[in-house]
Amino acid sequence: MNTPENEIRQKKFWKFWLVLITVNIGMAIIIWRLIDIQVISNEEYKSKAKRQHESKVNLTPERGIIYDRNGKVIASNFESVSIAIDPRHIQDLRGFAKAVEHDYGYSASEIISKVKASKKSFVWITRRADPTKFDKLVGFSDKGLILIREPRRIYHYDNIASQLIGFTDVDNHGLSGLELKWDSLLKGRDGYMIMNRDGAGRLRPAADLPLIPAFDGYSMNLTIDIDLQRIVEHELKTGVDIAGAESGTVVAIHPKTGEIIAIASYPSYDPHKPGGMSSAFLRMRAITDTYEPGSTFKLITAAAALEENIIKETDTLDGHLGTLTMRSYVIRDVKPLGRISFRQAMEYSSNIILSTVANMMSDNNFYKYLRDFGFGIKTDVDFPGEVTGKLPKPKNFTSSTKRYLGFGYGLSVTPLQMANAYGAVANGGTLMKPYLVSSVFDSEGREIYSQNPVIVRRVISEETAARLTDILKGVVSRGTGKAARVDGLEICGKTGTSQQIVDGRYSKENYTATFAGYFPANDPQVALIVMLDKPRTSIYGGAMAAPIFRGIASKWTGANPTTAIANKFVDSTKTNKDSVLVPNIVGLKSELAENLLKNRGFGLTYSGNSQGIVLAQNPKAHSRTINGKIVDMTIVATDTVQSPDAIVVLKGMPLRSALAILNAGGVKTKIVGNGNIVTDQKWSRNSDGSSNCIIYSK
Amino acid sequence: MGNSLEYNLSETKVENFDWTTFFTVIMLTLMGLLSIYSATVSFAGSFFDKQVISAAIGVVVLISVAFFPHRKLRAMSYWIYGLSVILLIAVLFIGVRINGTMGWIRLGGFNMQPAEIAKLGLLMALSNYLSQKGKSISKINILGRSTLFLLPLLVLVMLQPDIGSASVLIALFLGILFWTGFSSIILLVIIVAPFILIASLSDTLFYLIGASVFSVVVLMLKGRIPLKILAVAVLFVVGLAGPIVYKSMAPHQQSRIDSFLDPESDPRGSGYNVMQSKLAVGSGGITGKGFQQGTLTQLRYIPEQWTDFIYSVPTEEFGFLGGAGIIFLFGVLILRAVKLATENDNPFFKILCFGIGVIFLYHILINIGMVIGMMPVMGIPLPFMSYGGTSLLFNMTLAGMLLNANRTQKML
Repeated sequence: MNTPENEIRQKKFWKFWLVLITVNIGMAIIIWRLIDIQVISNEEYKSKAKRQHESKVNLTPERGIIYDRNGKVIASNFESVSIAIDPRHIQDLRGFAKAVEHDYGYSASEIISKVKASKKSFVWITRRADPTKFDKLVGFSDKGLILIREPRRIYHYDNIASQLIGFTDVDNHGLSGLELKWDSLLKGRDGYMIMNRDGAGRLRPAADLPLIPAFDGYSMNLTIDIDLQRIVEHELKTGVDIAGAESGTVVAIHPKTGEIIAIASYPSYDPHKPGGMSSAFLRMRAITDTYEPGSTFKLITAAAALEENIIKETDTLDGHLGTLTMRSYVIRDVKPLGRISFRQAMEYSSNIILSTVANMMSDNNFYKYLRDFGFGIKTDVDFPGEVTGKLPKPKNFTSSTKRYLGFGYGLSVTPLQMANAYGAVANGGTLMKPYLVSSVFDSEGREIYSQNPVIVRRVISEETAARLTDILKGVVSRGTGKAARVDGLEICGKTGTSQQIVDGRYSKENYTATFAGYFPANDPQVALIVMLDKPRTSIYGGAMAAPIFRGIASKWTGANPTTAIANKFVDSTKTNKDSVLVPNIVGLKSELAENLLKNRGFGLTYSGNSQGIVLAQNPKAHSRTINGKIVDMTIVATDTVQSPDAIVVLKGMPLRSALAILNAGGVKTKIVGNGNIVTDQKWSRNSDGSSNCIIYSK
Repeated sequence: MGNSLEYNLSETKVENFDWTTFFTVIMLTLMGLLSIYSATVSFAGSFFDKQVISAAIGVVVLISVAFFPHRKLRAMSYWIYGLSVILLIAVLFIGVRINGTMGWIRLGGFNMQPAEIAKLGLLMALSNYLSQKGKSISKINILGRSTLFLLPLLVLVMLQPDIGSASVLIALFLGILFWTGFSSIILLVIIVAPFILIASLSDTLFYLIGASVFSVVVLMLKGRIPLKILAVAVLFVVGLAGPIVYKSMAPHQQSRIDSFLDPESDPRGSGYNVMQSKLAVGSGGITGKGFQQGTLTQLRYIPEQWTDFIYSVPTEEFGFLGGAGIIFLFGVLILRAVKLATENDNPFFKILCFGIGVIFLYHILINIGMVIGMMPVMGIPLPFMSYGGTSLLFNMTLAGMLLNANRTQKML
């Protein structure tokens, strides 16, 4: 049987088994490898893949808007563009450098060497730049060019109220003023979005990945009237310049409520460029700095004495012809006075008589009034850095303490404390707590906090307050405060000139000139203090501070002071900066958009349906408009968005808006391409009636 | 002889139609279409549409070849060989260069790849030649003539250059030599030599162990002693010469060899694809991420995934089950081929079917091995699944030949 054919057959049979085994071993090795990487090491590969393609993108919230008491925007945001380069991926670095040469303070070669020198994957070219500069980069597509749009803070009144509002750093954290004090509420909460990074390194949004929207910061209404604030700052600046003073401070309080209507220090700064400013310019000195009040404090002495019936206006006292010599010290008046009534002593601001009156009260009793008016304690105003001032305690009184306190020496106060004490007298004897923020509300306009006027205590009786008002009226009409007079407006006030302590001694050169008061006398609306630090032209409050007071009062009240003030100082000159940013409402449900607009003082009209999703808005989001302007919303019904038959035209829309609309309509969305603008759309319907939309963006 | 009558009868019957092979091929093709769809859906490409057309033509080709008169099929062998030589010459002049290889001729909207036709040409020509009476491969002149079929194709393919296809031609040639009775010792040396070379370049100890084990195996085989000694000597020479040649190379040539042997040493270059395809396969898990849900596939981490790296799509989206299922289908196909090669009474088909089995096996091991990071990166497509019309039609032709062999065989 050993024919050649059989031999071949047998050989081939042997080979068949060899081949069979070889094939199976080969397959088994592959299968084992698949088990190894797909089953055994699956978790490792999975997390590695995830790390590679998932990218967390922070969503920046919009910082809360700061409005004044009349709803005018003081601080808001605009979209800025930050530009960075990824040195590993930039292709046309030279072209880019040429395109932006000198825009951000670098020459083309500086940009090139800056990028080339960096070992990081991220080199900032500029942060938070004006977006108009970015226009020329629109057509510049390079995967190494990174453009980040972020909101940036804008202060609509520049220097006005700058110490009050404060400023933020480049990351939008509040660094001073209200921005600092209320930072936790204003800043909002970062959101994030997990995006897919594709093989080319581009980020793609995906509907099924987590998205935690940014929570916009809370906005707030201030008690400040920005128009009055502007008048105050203008008058203060003029006054400081005339007086040759180092600085000046003004506080204006609405006495009935404690609302701070204006608060300013000069010199001030531009909150857009706070860098390099000395802290003296940044401080809200009315709250953070103290001074020795001098004669303006005599009102407090008078209030205590009248309330305690220690003296009456008509009682006469000895002026000692300008010099009262005690055992170890001498008290002098600027103008020698004989025996005069207490009212006249106030009008002429006699140190001797007021020190005598103060000395007539018991230590504890006198001290009680000073404390009750709020001296030596914080007012608890809602602003960072408030100081207490110094008020000696009765147990530390020496024989001269009361006498000095009587005319405003031997203690230190903040201008705010002083203004608030005057406010208490103006308010019929009741001290109010001063405050700056009247309400806080979220981005949809829901109020989350509001501050109502807080009565601190009754300090003196209404009758005493009325008598003091009468006395202060006299100071302005007949006495040292004549320079504050305004025709047709009854002003109550008191001058003050105090020596400053330099190196432990009272200086003969450095003075503080003040004028404190309130108006109109019959129904006070404003308690106001003007303080000049180290005036040089003249040292006297009556000469230097009173005219500023007058300037402010007359500007505020205009031609017909009484009614103007009763109308809460409404008439003020509008400027082109009195505009607000239109919020972005595209993609919101109509009710939500409506709320948002109403709460920000917009009127609105509808196009299309009245219920559904906002498809378009006019004026556009982030444009400026005068407060109260009408926004037209084009609304599309929710079921229209969902229906593949009645197609919503998304073409030409920014990808973000289109996504917002589709999301609100509950449409499953897939994005093809990686542009910013929708170029095409393709609809399909699921078996459950919901629909899918593929957006193309090239 | 009554054989001709029987063949003529059976040629009209459909009874012996091999449904298993047919459905295996259809399922692999559908799996390929799904994978190509998934890999290209995220951008506007026409790959899927074109592949659907190719597949439709392919099924027609499959059926036509299956029912083609088998003698005429055999008679076409040298013509097809000749055509492939002409096309291989033509492509060097009128071809289109893609990824550095001058390998495609543009025909209408499609690109034809002559190298695929060359594989068919060599297969048929060798099967035809060696199945003639008296053409025993153990005769030196027959071996020489057989080699003459290989060489022109090899040279022309290397001119493109297309290393992958060249390696297929060599593998096919060696496979047929083995099946037709060529000396096992010499074949073993030829097959083992590249592995010994690789071992000598990567690890001396590894090389010594491998070479020793192999020497023992060779010495134990039947055969003439001088031949055995020669075989062992060749292996040691290869192992010693490898590192010396490597060290005398320029650094850029060395790094080319490095990244060929270990793609992951070059993660930004050729290693990138392997790294990403391994990630895709590994992250697929047991059941996969779901159709069109493969993140690496959909986010296009694997460049031109629809061609040589197509296997990473079903393994990512359908997981181990999908991946192993495909291996199983290929296994069925190869075993059918080997079984036909063993049992068929037609000497032409005996060699042809074995060659088909070798082609499938080689493509699958190299391609899948590359995707899962076990083999160096060579431009070798996965049969029935990779995008490419010529490749699909070539594989359909091979499958059609298997059907034909089954249909016309006389049961032993």
